[in-house]
This record gives sequence, structure tokens and C-alpha cells, in this order.
Amino acid sequence: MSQTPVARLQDVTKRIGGRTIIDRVSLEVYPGEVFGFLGPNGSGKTTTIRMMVGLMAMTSGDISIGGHSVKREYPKAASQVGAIVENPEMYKYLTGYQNLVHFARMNPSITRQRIDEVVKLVGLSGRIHDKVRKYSLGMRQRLGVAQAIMHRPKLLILDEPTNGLDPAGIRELRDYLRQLAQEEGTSVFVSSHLLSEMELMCDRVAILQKGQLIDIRSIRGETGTAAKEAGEALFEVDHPDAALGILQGQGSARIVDGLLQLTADRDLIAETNKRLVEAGIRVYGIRAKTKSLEDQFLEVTGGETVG
Amino acid sequence: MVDFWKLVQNENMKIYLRLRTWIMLGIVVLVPILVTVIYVLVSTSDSANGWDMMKLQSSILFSLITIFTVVVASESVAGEFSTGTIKLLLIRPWSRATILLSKYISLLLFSILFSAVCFLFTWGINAALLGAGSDASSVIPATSGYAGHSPWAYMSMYYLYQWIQLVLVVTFSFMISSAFRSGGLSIGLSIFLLFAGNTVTGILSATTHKPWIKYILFSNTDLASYLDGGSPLPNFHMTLGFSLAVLAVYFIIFNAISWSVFMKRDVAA
Ligand SMILES: Nc1ncnc2c1ncn2[C@@H]1O[C@H](COP(=O)(O)OP(=O)(O)O)[C@@H](O)[C@H]1O
Ligand SMILES: [Mg+2]
Repeated sequence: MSQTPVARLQDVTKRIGGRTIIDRVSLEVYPGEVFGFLGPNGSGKTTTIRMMVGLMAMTSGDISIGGHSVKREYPKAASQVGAIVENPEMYKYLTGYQNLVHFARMNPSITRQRIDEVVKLVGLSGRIHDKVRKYSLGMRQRLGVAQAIMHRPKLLILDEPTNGLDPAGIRELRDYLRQLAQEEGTSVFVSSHLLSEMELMCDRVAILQKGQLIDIRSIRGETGTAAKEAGEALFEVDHPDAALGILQGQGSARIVDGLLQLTADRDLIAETNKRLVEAGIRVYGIRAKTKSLEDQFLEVTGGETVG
Repeated sequence: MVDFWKLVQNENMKIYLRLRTWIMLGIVVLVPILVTVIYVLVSTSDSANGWDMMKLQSSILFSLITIFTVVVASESVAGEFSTGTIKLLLIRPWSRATILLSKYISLLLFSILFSAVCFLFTWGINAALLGAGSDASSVIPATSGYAGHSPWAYMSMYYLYQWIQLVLVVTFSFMISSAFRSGGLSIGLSIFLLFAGNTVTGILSATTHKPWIKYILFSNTDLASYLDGGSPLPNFHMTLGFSLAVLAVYFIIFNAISWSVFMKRDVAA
């Protein structure tokens, strides 16, 4: 990508009491992408996010948002960001609406219509004049999202936003984030310790482990190109053993869970299919075995458990 | 400037949309009414002057208003940390210094509102039931620089001096609140200082004559004693100007600590 990044982290390091919690993390988030920040609990996701929004100072390195350094031009950088850091804590003695008015006053040019619009968008219209004390965790999350997007930030940062949401809520949030990224060009930086979620939601995922960035992978890109590159292909056939015999020449062919599996690119898949069919083997299905992010994650983290 | 006022508006909203604040205000309104009504019903002499009663009630109510403002000040910063709302407050396009200033200003406004209500009700009820004419010889001591002046002028100065004392105590609790992020500690220490401070400096001044005693904060907060022609520590040579200068130094130190700690600290709430 050649666009100017919305957020750029350069060698960001955080040491607390002699312990390095974040170690030279560098990454860039581009306009309109959903960027996943994946790591087990305690890997430093929240700490990184705190530094991105100016709640914590960096020990070294720098972060810029929309070209403005969080260190040197904080208000300019912050004006482009909407965020929820850990839990969306609101003033419990105020209503949802009063909370939104409170935060709206702190940004220039948020009109009452915009507040109403956002309330509708997150589906809180019916309960917005109730005290936040009476809200469920899911409703607080929605209110949290509302305060984060009211001012149409260029970068939306959400720290484990699916905590406390039910599966329907998670799907809704996912769809909503994708829509925000595609239609409004908002970049979304979302952290999670759950692989499956990241896989469904993100364009790219950075993997953090013990404060170090160990990999950045693009998710959607990968499935798109998989077909052209050599990958693992699975053939569902009536007689796997016979089929393996026919393919003796192809070193990679083997039987896995009753399926014939081999390493092949597009042309070789077509060729193999032709040979099997011509030899009288019935082929019921062919599919590419894509590595799930989980496999990738376990691969890069060396199989460390994710809690 | 218009935008900065919105921050103060936010702080005001968080103060006045709480039931607690209205209970406090109710106490400030009810205490003078009840005390004076009971006095009128019980008292047999009819020599009482409304100004005397107003001054007595005001001195008691000022301790209460100080405690109320300390409670709100302690909550103002520490409360945002303990509930976690500080995170959403600080990620806006404002410097931390400005956000802290909006909180401090809202506290001063709170204390001014309460002082004004106190003035109005202590004057109103006592003027109505006991009469508060222009003769104030009983409320203004002959030694006072205000002897012979109107009771309005005297009471206004009395309120100003009491308010300056309040501002110092509240600035102290604001400092503890933002430095230690503990509302309980802030309330406890401030109220302890408010009551023990005067006693301790009183004992110290009576038992020793070390010159440093007059530089202690609480040797200087009782500005109202200058109003009556005395000084907070009669054994020491102190003037109003000296006390104001000492208070100004404490005021600057307390605020310097509040701001520098609040601006630097990592927010890990
Ligand atoms: N204020 C702090 N002081 C000391 N250590 C901290 C502090 N905040 C976080 N940590 C440590 O930093 C590491 C990363 O924490 P965190 O960023 O919360 O991880 P995550 O959000 O990925 O679960 C943890 O080991 C945690 O104990
Ligand atoms: Mg976390």
C-alpha cells in the first residue's frame, strides 16, 4: 500500500519499573482498513493502545496519528481518534444521552442531530434517556462505540470490543466495523485475544507476544492469492488408495482423514483431476486447504496457549 | 474561550446532576432557617440582633461548605480514576492541563454558589425574624478597622476572608486527589487539616516562640481575626499582608504539584 498511513508506530517501547512491557513495536495502519491487534492476555495490547491515545507516555519511539505526533501535538492527534480502552466506563449517574452530550462538547462541531444519528446507529434509541447505571454490558459497549464514532474519527481504536457481547452482538459489531471502514473510509484498529474473531473481521492482523510484534499478516489478501500459488489441495474421491496409486509420481500426494491431499498450484490441480477421472476414479469434490489464522498464530507463537 | 467554557459546563453537569449536591445545598438553606426559628421560639430575651446570628451561623456553615467542596474536589479527579471514566475524558483533543483547570474552576464556582446561598439565607431569615438594621455595633468589635462601617461591608469582608481559607483547603484536597488519586485520602486529610490544623498551630504558638511557626499554613488561614483588629497568632507579629503572602505561596505550591503530577502520570485506571 502506498497511501499515507493514518497511524504510524515507530519503535514504540514502554518500560515500567525496569520491565520492558512493549519492545520496539512498529506498524502502520492505512485508511479504510480494519487492522487486528492479536495477542494473548498480558501481551501488551492495552498498553500499546494507551500509548496511542496518550494515556501513557512512551519510554522511547513515537506514534503519529494523521501525521501528528502524539508526544508533541497531542490535541491535533487526538482529534482524529475515537477509542474505547478496555471497558467503556461511563458516568453511571448520567443518562446515556447526557454521557454523549458530555463527550460531544469536547469535540468541535458535533451537532444534536449527529448525536441522535449515532444513537440510532448503535441501536440505543429506546433506552438512551435511561441512567447508564441500568445498562447491561452490551448496552454500555454500544454507548462506548457511539461516543467513539460521534466525531467521525479517521481512526477508531477498540480494545477487545467483543468482551461481554453475545454472538449476535459480535456479528453486528463486525458488520458495522466493516461498513465503517468501507463506506466512510475509517480505519479501525481492533485488539483481541481471540483468533477466530480477528479472522472474520480484519484485513490485516499484527501478532503481539510478550510485548514484541512477531508478525503482520494480511488475511483477505492471502485467501485471494492462494489459488495462484502452490498450496494444499484436498480431493474427495471414491477410492483414495487407488487414487494414490495412480498419482505415484507425485511425491507430495498422501491420504489425510480419508481425503487425498497434495501440494499443487492451479494447473496441477486441474491436471491431477483429469488423470484421476481418466483412470476411472470418481471425484466428488476439490478444495484448497487454507491455513486458518489459528494455525498461523500457533505456528508463529510456537504453539503457546492463548487464553 | 467559548470551547473552554464547554469543559467547565461538563464539570458542572457532573456536579449538579447528582443528588448529593442538592442535599448539600438543602443543608446550607435549612440550617439557618431551623436555628433561627428554634431560637425565636425558645429565647426569652428580645435583644438578639440579626447580624450577630448571621455571623454565628455563617462561621458554622463555612466549615460545612468547606467540607462539601472538599468532598466534590476529592471526587472530581480521584473519582474519575476509580470509575475509569478518566480514560474517556483524557482522550479528547484537549491538553491535560486544560482539563484539570476546568475541574478546578468548576470547584471554585461551586464554592462561590454555596457561599452566596449561605449569605442570602443567613441574612434573609435573620433579617426577617430578628431584624437586621443598619446598627451593627454588636457584630463589629470596636477594635475592628470596620468599626462604624455598614454591617454589609463588614459581612462581605468576613465572607471573602472565609472563602480564601476555603480555597486553600480545597486546593489542598484537589492536590491530594490528583496526586494520589484517592478520594478517601483526600477527604480525610483535608478535613483533618481543617480541624486539627488550627488546634495544632494554636498549641504550638502558645508553647514555643520559634519564628517558623508563623509560616505554617494554618497559622495564616484565620484571616477573619484581622478583620476584628487581631491576628491569628496573637503572640507573633503578623499582618494581613504577611498572611496573604504566605497563603499565596502555599496556593502556588499546591497547584504546581496538582498540575505537574496530573500532566505526567500514566493513566492505567
Ligand atoms: N501500570 C502497569 N504497571 C506495571 N505493569 C503493567 C502495567 N500495566 C500493564 N502492565 C503489564 O504489562 C503487560 C501487558 O499488559 P496489557 O497491555 O494489559 O496486556 P493485554 O491488554 O494484551 O492483555 C502485563 O504483563 C501487565 O502485567
Ligand atoms: Mg487488554
